[in-house]
Amino acid sequence: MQPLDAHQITVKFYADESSRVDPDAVVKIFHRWIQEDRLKGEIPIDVADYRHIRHGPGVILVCHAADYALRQNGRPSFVYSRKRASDDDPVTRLGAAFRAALTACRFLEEEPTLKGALEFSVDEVSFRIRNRLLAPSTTACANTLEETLHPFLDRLYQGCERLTLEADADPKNLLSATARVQRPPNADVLLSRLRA
Amino acid sequence: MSIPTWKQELGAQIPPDLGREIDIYETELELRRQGKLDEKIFGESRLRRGVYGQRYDNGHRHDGNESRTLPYPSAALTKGLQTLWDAPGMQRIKIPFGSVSPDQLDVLAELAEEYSAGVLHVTTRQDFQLHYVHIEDTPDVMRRLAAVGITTREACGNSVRNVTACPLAGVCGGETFDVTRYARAMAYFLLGHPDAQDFGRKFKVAFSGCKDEPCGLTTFHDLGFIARVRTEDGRTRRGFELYVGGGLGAVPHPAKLFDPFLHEEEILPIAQAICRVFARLGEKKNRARARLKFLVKKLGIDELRRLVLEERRKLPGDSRWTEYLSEGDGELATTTTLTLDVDAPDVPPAFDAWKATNVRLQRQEGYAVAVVTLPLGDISAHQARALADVARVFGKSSGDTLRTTVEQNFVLRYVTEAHLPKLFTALDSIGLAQPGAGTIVDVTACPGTDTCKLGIASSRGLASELRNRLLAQDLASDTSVKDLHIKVSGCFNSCGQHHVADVGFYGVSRQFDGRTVPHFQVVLGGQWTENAKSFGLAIGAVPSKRIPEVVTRLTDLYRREAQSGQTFSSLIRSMGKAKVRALLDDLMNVPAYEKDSSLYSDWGDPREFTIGDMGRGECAGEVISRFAFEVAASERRVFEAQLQLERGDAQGAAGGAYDAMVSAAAALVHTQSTDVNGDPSRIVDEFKSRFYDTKLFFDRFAGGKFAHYLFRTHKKILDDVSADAAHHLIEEAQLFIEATHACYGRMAEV
Repeated sequence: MQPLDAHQITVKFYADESSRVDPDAVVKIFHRWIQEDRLKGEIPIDVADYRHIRHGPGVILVCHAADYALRQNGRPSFVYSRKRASDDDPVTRLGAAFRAALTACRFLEEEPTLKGALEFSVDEVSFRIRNRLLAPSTTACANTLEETLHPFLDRLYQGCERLTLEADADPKNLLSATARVQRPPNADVLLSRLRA
Repeated sequence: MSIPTWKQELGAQIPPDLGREIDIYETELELRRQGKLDEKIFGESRLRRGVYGQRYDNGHRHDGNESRTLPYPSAALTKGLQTLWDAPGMQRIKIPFGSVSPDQLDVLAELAEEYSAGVLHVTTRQDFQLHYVHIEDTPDVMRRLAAVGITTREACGNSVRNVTACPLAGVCGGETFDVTRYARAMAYFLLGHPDAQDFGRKFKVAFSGCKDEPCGLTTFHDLGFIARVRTEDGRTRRGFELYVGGGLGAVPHPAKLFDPFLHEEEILPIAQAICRVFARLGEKKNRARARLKFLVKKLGIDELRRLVLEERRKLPGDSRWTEYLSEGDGELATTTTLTLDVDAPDVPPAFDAWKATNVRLQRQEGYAVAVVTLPLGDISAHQARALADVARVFGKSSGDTLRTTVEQNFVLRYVTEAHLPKLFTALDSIGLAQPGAGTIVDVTACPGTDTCKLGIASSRGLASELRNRLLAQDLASDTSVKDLHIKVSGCFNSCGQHHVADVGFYGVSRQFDGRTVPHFQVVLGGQWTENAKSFGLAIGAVPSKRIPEVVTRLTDLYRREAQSGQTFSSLIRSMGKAKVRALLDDLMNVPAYEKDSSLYSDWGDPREFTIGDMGRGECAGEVISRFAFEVAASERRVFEAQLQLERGDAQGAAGGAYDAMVSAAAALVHTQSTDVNGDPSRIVDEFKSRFYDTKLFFDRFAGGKFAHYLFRTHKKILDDVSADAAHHLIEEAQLFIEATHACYGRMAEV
């Protein structure tokens, strides 16, 4: 078994510190996404507001297979968390998670009511595997995770100047990894590669 | 390569009895998934393991424009009446008397991260709840909890719920004695007790170390125990003032005094006797009147007492009545492994304000209790893990440092006074150093419309708004109003305990010009002190968005009109409801939608308000008879026997078939006598005399034939059984179970 056999993948993109929006606006936007069926392929259920928790999950659009959350406690970020299994192979699942997260980020960036206040970077992306049984936070798993993620990220970010990937095997935390990229392609290019 | 499982991973870390219970649940889950277990029985069974439904689990949600169907992959498969299989649910986790160890908190944090939204919620009964949990994840949640000594069994449903107690038990200067060991004994004695399996409704127990403070809230519990001592024959004896039949709900009932001094060794047998009387005489058809409080009202406390004492005299002796009490008190060694630099007394600027509201000295000299305020009772997984580490550093190495409270906070006990500034800094670094615990800003709320199917208005949305406004006004420092308690419930069922607040609110709705407007009924004058001595009264409904103004006017009124030392409830009583209501009358008018549409949606929810999303409540569970549960257990056992045979374990399969028949026989025997224990020989003997010799079990055509399957197997020694023989036994077991159903059906017709 390797870590990405677990389906509980979290992908996180960061926004600039100055990119902060009113959480009330985000709540409204997520409710509207439900009305408009904005997230194709998802079964949206509700919007959960946890802004009152410092370093908490922020405002979450809860769906059946995944959660989509904007966090603004601490460094602003958009977090996609897959919850239910699919029949796809790990790399396909990884690509789907990336695509879902980036798509939602672009929706927020283009959201008229936010007037461009949110801008996400694709030069840094974090992953976590929320499954301590299949992906324990050990050095061995961290190495395996890097070995699986690297080729995926190399293909996705081809043309970038430099890509570094670092996995974190703190046994107290979930297995995670962070990729940093210099001069990445923009989000639309990444999305087109993910759709291909 | 086989996929690892938590069952394998945790292995012997899971206590065998808890492990077996979870295996049973997992089998039931599989049977339900295959449509082989009735949805009502599974529904009640999962509730009794704390697996609850959540809002929208009927597969419908109003999106603000229209009601939509949620097209879950499992289609029409249900996990209970009108609750779809794939719909996210809530896992309630019982924490007896609120005591949680740092290791347990670590695991709770892990579960929140992996199976939920990353948040742990502390309830008004010292439990935890995880929201948005998929039912298929629940067995593993239970296993990982069991491995650290936590069971979710009987967290919901018609059972004995979490036993609560003062979070300061053992450290409080005002307590008569530490009630911890008694609360623990009660929790584990009643857990799964046969006499507590046939209730028509839930049953709640609370312990208090004193009469004056509110920590125990015994007044509104089914059983409320207040610690007492008295001298008998020159010896100090411990006992309890016992109250029974309290409850909040839609119409609160204060508990009645059952015994002014019940000796400590009698608390478990008397509780058992009360359970028997409740199971026997409590209402089961009309769910709205099935709590013990209604039985007390119907019989009167004197008759109830008579019945209970009569039952007590008949009880077979049980060594656990005293064994369970013999575990030591919560008094801990006063050494610490702390290695802080206590010579660096940097006191952060916000420390004094926090200390003024969040710290209380213990009776153990040099120690203090620090309250960790959780906004809306929520803590993130990250914070929970960090708090566990804080508890390890600042609390006692021997444990019992952390407890949850009914005000939805944590307390950290046994903190050395000199270390308080460092503790504050540590808590502040993880966002848990908010002041105002137990003050007007510490607003308590049930989950309400966020996740509860019965929620009418957004209790959490309102509580959050009130909290933010009151903090901004710094009312936690305003000595004239800071001690007021505000509590919010999403509906009349009072999970937010609005009846015992100075200022309480519960969600309602009103219709205006064809639209529905969220309101809260204003409930004033509850008394929080003296174990929640009295209940407030509703004075009128105000639109949800105007409630902050209600609070402003009431706090201004209190500042202006209260005599020195006068409580808020006393002021309201002296003024009279009419006069107080007049103060709020103008807030009750609802303008037309076209003039101000803001009132037509609720706090934190931009959708136009509707009550269409309310669903079928599960708090009342289903009344499933003990027979139904027990015969379902026999069916599950015979199913497991089939699986064993499939795996080539003929011996195990034969044993399972026999166990299934004994279990079905026990189900029938227990309809006549609850005192027959689980010994197979005793069960077979009782079955023979009560059902075979009397021919009650006889089938019209087959006579007593199916009974002989049981008798024959009971006499056999099941050694070296072939696959054919096991298969044969399984078939006989299935026929015996069918005959059991038929017998029960005939008895019901008589």
